[in-house]
Amino acid sequence: MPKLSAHPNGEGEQDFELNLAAIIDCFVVLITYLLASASFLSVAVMDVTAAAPSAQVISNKDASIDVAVDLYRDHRMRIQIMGDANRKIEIPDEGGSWNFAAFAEHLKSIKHEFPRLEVVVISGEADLAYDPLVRAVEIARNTVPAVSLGSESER
Amino acid sequence: MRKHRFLNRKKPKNEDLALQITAMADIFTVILVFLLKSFSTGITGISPGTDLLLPEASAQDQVVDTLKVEISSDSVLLEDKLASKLRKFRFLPDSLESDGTPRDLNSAFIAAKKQEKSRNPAASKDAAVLTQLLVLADRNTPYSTLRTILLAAGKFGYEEYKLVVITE
Repeated sequence: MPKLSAHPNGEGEQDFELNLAAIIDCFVVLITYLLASASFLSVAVMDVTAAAPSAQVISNKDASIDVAVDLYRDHRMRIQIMGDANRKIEIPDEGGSWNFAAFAEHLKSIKHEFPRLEVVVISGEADLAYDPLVRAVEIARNTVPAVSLGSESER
Repeated sequence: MRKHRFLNRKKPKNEDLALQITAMADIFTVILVFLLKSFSTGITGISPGTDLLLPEASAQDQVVDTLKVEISSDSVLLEDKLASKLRKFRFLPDSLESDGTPRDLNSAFIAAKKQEKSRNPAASKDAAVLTQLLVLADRNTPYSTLRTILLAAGKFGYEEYKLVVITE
């Protein structure tokens, strides 16, 4: 109930008290709901596309080459360049583990040599785990704007 | 005999415990602002199952509200509903159709597409989002299984995939 306070001029002012209890009730309900629906994992997404089964590469319209990367279970990697420049780059394992540093360097040099390269197709052996594939996609995305996942690699 | 009251116990005065509601309101406001901020970024819908170990990577692409598929060692979930069973990340041989895609997963995609159309008949949702698929796969998922699921998704118009990772 607002209380009127006497004013020297005779005008009445209404003082009111803020009812914090009701606000706290609303906050408790809201916070409970948001806590239940919140995800405390720091997640992110990477955009990729999938190449059609028949096409192992997606042609880069402006670039004069196509690049396909194959990952193998024994931690080997192979970069195939097709088109104006035909070559294969074999990246052996590094002490039984993936040599992603060399992979990144090779991709950078290819991008430097062919600046219009836009898409890289990455494939893996059928039994290759998802983790190294994601790592390869992450490295490729630092160099080219688009990455596509191709059919399973053959040895 | 005088009673000695060795222990002059006085009844404690009833002190009104004044609850500092103002301070509580301050704290609640801060917590609420934080939770609203995380809610608005749209990643609250991405809650992988406890048995799912996502791979680690750094990525900065935009998260969108789209169809979600989760791949664990024993199942494939589509929008948190069981779509197909797996055995150690592999599809059962008798569950595959002639084109290599799983029968029950295809049915789940058909149902998901129908649900999307009934929810957005006027296609008021961004058309690009309707072709995107959020993929939450365990880090040990074999590439063949992932590829099979993406091929099945591709049959129903899902051509762009958002691989969910944990940021390092």
